[in-house]
Amino acid sequence: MGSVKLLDKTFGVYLFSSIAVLVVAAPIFYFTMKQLYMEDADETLDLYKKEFKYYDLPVLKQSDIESYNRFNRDMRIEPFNGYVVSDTIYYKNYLDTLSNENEPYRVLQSSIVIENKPYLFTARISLVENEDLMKSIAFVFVVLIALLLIILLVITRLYSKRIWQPFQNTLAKIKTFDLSQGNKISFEKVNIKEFNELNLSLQKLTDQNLSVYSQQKAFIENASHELQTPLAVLKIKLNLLLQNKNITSEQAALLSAIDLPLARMTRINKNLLLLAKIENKQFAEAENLNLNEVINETLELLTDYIASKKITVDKNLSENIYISCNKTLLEILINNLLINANVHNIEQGNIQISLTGKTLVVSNTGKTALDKEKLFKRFTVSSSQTVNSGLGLAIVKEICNRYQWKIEYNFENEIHTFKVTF
Amino acid sequence: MKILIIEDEMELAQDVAKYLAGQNYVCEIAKTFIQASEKIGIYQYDCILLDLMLPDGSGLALLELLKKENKQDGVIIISAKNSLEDKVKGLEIGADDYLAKPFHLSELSARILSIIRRKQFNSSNIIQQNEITIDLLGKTVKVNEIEISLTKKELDLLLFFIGNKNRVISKSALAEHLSGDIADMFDNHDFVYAHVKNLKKKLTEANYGNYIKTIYGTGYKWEA
Repeated sequence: MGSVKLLDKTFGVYLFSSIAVLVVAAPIFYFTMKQLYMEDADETLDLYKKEFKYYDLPVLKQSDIESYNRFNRDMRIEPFNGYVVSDTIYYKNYLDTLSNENEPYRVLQSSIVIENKPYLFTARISLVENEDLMKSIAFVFVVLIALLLIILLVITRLYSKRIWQPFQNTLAKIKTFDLSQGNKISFEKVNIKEFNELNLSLQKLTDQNLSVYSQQKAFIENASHELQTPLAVLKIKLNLLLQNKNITSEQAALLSAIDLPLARMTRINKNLLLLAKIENKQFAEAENLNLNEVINETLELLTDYIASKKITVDKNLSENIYISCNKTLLEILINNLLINANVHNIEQGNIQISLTGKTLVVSNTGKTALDKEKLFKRFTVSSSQTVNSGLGLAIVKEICNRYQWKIEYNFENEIHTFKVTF
Repeated sequence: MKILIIEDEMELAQDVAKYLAGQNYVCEIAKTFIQASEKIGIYQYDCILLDLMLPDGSGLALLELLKKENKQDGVIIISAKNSLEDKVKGLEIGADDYLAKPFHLSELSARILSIIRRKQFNSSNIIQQNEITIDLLGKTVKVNEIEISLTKKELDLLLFFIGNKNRVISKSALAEHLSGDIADMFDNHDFVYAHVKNLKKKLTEANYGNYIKTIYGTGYKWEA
């Protein structure tokens, strides 16, 4: 769904309503003006008639009519047979002999009597001036509207922008807010009530979230800590039981069956603690590390394990690629990726490790793709392997987040590929 | 040899004591900071196992006390916290080793032996066990005066077995010892078998007695 900027939207509304007002108002304005002008014309005609009747009529003789008509273009006296009770007033077009065009006129006719003979007095007034006036008025009208719109535009562009600035500031702060970073955000006080309310509400919301988040983190960490000692006791009890000389092979099998889930619990607990520590920004000390060396060292520790699974390893590592980070975290990252490549592998499979530039690719043979959505979430990697903690890749992701490294996963042609860009 | 276990979790302390007693150590237990500081003040121990979190004080303070009184007791910190800072701080103050809970008893035993060896024999590096002589500095192993060549991991295993005489050592303990912390991420510990087999083979070829016994389903035992 496309979205429009608020200022564009308000300007759009202004523009639309201005045009609507113009469209509705222009005809009303036009007709009102016309009406006014017409009334004015009618009054003028009426005045002409009255003046005529008052000044001219009493002294006018029939013999004067011809000369009267000769010098008056707009007032004429014509013989008339009938008798008009009241004056009539109407529009009529007359041919303008100079421009050879029909021009609109307003005409008043009134019956008069000159020396006992009925005549028709006709007075007319040109409406050409009227049209010119209309045109000028319309022009002024359009100019006014245009001016209004320009001012509106300037206001929305400049002034509104300034008014909305606190909102933009708030938005920028919210955008950079990261719950897992645990940094509080604070807003400056602004002199607009609504924005202050918004800021206060946001402040409250983020503070609450932060506190819930840190409580949850602390809970996981404390729970894991509390579990360490009972786990240690269990492990030791089991070990002591193993020392018993009278143990039967059946009992021994039971004991090692207990050992496995116990080891898994230990592992999960350890990894939860590790995650909590990474989230808490422990492992802060960083050093410049040779990636190539760290990969080889980690691989060395895993050699026995990999060999026991009959998996072959091919590596293609560029020399002297250095990155600055915490050594323990880098080791854990590489270690978890490699162990993952073992766990999700096939019988007599293969692992490829390649390092080119600042990109590490670990790929291995496999049967089914991992769920991309859930891959890096805690306890969600589905696998027939029940011994892994379900936290290895979550830890990898957490480490990548910590250093803003990019990690991608792909499954193609029965090959799992993890790509880390440092 | 005397060992002091400073640990508020009695269950754990007693079990450690029980295991170590089988290795001919005499163990004493201190539950609190006060008990521990009294014992440290009066007696001398070959090795002290120190829990950092005590109900009435910090284990690190005890460590500082030891160093202030210039005691020579070896110290292994045992902590549920497994935090790098504690580890670094503890080792800086003067602890000899750091072990995170939960740990394998056999790992603890091997580390105690290594510390006592360093302290007692004044860094003499020769270990004598039955017909075997191990020179830790030269990393050489002789059986009946004949040198045999062991890989680094096999030597490691041998020392681990000697540190846990007559005790059943689980495969997972061996795996962790060989691969460090990451071993408990593995989904099986079969590689231990290969190393033990190789070690046994090399020792047998040198006419060494068959001391390493496989305990079905659980692990191995060095019978001496």
